Amino acid sequence: METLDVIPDIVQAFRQCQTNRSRAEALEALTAELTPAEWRALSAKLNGRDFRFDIVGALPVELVASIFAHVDVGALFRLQCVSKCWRSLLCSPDVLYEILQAWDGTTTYRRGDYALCQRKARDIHRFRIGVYEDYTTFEGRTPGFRFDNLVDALVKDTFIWLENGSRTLNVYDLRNRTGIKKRQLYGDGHERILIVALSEELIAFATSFNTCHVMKLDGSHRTKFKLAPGMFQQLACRSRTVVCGGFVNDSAVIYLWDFDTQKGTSCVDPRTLAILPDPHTQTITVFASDRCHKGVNLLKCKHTESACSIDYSRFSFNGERIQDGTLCLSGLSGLSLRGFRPAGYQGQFALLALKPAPQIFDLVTISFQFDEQLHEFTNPNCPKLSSCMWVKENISWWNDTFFQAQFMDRDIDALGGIYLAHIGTSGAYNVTPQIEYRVPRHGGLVTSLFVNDKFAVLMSSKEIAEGTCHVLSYEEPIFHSKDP
Amino acid sequence: MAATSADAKKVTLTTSDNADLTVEREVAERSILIKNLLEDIGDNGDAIPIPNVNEAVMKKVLEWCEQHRKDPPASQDDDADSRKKSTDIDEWDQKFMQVDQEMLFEIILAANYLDIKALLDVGCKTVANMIKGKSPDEIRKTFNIQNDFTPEEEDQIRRENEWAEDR
Repeated sequence: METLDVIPDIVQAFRQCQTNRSRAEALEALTAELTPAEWRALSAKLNGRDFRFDIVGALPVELVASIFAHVDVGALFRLQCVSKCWRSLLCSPDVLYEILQAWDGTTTYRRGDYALCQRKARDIHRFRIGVYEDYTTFEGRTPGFRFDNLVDALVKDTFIWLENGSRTLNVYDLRNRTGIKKRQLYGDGHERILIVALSEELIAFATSFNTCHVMKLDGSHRTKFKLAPGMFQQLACRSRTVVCGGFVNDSAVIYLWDFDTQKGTSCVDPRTLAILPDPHTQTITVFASDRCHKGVNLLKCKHTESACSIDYSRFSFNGERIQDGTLCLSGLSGLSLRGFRPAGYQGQFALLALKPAPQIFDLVTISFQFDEQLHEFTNPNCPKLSSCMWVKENISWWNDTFFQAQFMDRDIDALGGIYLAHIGTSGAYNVTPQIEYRVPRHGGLVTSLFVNDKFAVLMSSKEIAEGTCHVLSYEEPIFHSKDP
Repeated sequence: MAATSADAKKVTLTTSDNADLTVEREVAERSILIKNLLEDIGDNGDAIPIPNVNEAVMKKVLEWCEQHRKDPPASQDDDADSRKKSTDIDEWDQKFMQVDQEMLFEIILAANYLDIKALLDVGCKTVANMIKGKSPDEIRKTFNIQNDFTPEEEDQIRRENEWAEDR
C-alpha cells in the first residue's frame, strides 16, 4: 500500500474520536510513535502557530463598543485606516453613537449623522487634549470676597454670575461668542440673593425675603414660592425639581418643589449639609460631615479632630431611607460641604467642600467625586494627585479631563498672572497652558473655575467687587458647521 | 440515590464538546445565565447544557468565577461595575488574562453569552489596553491584520481624520 493513501484514513480515524478525552488519548498515542527528528519538526510547527488574530474584527459590534469605551475618542478615527473591517466597525452607529452619547449625555444621534458625530468627536478630542476653539472675556462686578454662593454656575451653554452686592443675577448665553448675551434677574424688591442653583432646565434663586424664584433657563415661566426663614441654607436643582434644605426650630428639613405641579412637600429631616436630588429615580442623597452644629451655623463643623468623615444617605422623595454610606478621610478636618457640580453625564458629581486654613479668610476649596449610580465616592483620578480621594483648590474636571487655575506672582513688574492650564486626562499629567491673564498684584485676588464638556470658565477678580470672566470654548462655532 | 447536602450545592455543566464539569452552585451562579436557568428549571440535579462554550474555555471561565465567588453580585440595570475602576485591572485578573489572543477572544464571547458582566468587562479592558496608544501600523502587527486598503484609499482616510492625530 502506498504510504500517502493511508493519510486520509488516519485523519478520518482521528475525526471519529468525538470526545475530548478520546482525542487527547489518540494524540497521546500518535506522539508516542514520533522519532526525535519528527518531534523537532512538530515543535517547529507549533512555534510557528500564530495565535494573533483580529479580535476586534471578529467580535459582535456591541462588544467592540464596550472595548472602545475604554479608549480615547480620537482612536475611533485614527484607527479607521487599519483595515476595511475596522473602518466599517468604527464608523458604525452602534459603536460611534454609544461612545459619543456616554460623553454627550443628552444628544441622541440618528442614522446618517456621521458628519455630526465627527464634529462632536472633534470637540471632545479638543477638550481632552486642551486645544480651545475660542476665547472671550467679559467684565462684571463680583458679589463679595469669594464666589461661595455660586457652587454650580455653568450648565450647558448657560453661565450665571451674581453681582451688585448679590442683588442682581446675570445670566449669560455662551453660545454666541462674538457678543455674549446677558439677561438680568432680581428679587421682587432687588433684595439680596442668598443662593442660586441651576439645572439643565431651570434657574432657581432664593432671596432674603425667604422667597425662591424659579424659571426656565430662557427666563420663561417664572414663578416663586415662599418658605420659613432659614430654609435656604441649601438649594439644589435637578431637571425640573428644586430642593431646599435648612433648619426650622432647630430641626433639619428638606423641602422638595416640583416645577410641573408647582407644589412642594417637606421630606426627611437628617442633618443637612449638601443635597443631591435625582428626580429620575425619585431619590435624594443627603450628605453631612461629622460633628456638625445644628442651628444657625449649619455649614460649620468642629475642627477638633484630625480626621473627618462624610456620612451620606439616600432617601426616596417620600422620605424613606434606602441606603447609607460613609467616606472616612484622614488628614482633613472641619470640612464644610458646599454642594454639587455635575462632572459628567453619567452620574458623576463634584462635591465641593471648604477646609479652614490658618487665616480665617484663607479657606481652601477641595472637591470629591461622587458617583450617583454607584452611590459612593470614587477616586477622581486627577493626573496631578493620583490615588487621592480629593482634589485641591482650583482644579475642576469633566469626565476624565482636568483643568487647573493658578495665581502666580511675578517679580518683574507689579503684575501677577492668572494661569489656566489643561493638566491632562486621568492618570496622564500633561500640562497644556490655556490662557495667561495679567492683573495688578494687589487687591485680594480670587478665582473660581467651572468646567463642562464644552467650556472652561474662569472667574477672577482684580479687586474686590470687580471681576473678569474668561470663557474658553472647545466647541466648533455652530454657524461654521457647513465648512469642511 | 438521594443527593447529600454537599452534593446539593453542586451543579454539572455540559460544554459544547460534551465534557461534564461539576462545580459549586455559588461559583456557577456568577453567570447570570446559569443563575436564571437554575431558578427557572429548579435544581433537579440534571446537567445544564452550555452549547456555546467549549471545555477549555469553560474551565478558564470557572477559574475566574471561583476567584470572584465572594464578590458582591453585579447590578443588572446599569454599567456601574464597568465604571468602578476606569482603566485599571485587578492584579489577579491581569494575570488571568495573560492568555493567547484566541483564548482571550473566546473568554470574551463566553462571558457575554453566560452574562458575567465583570469578566466581560475585564476582557474588554484587556483588549482596550492592547489598542491604547498604538498607531494603525502597530495595531495591524498586534492583531495580525492585513491592510486591505490601496495606498490612495489609506491616504484619503488618514487625511480625513488628521485631526485625531494630535495627542
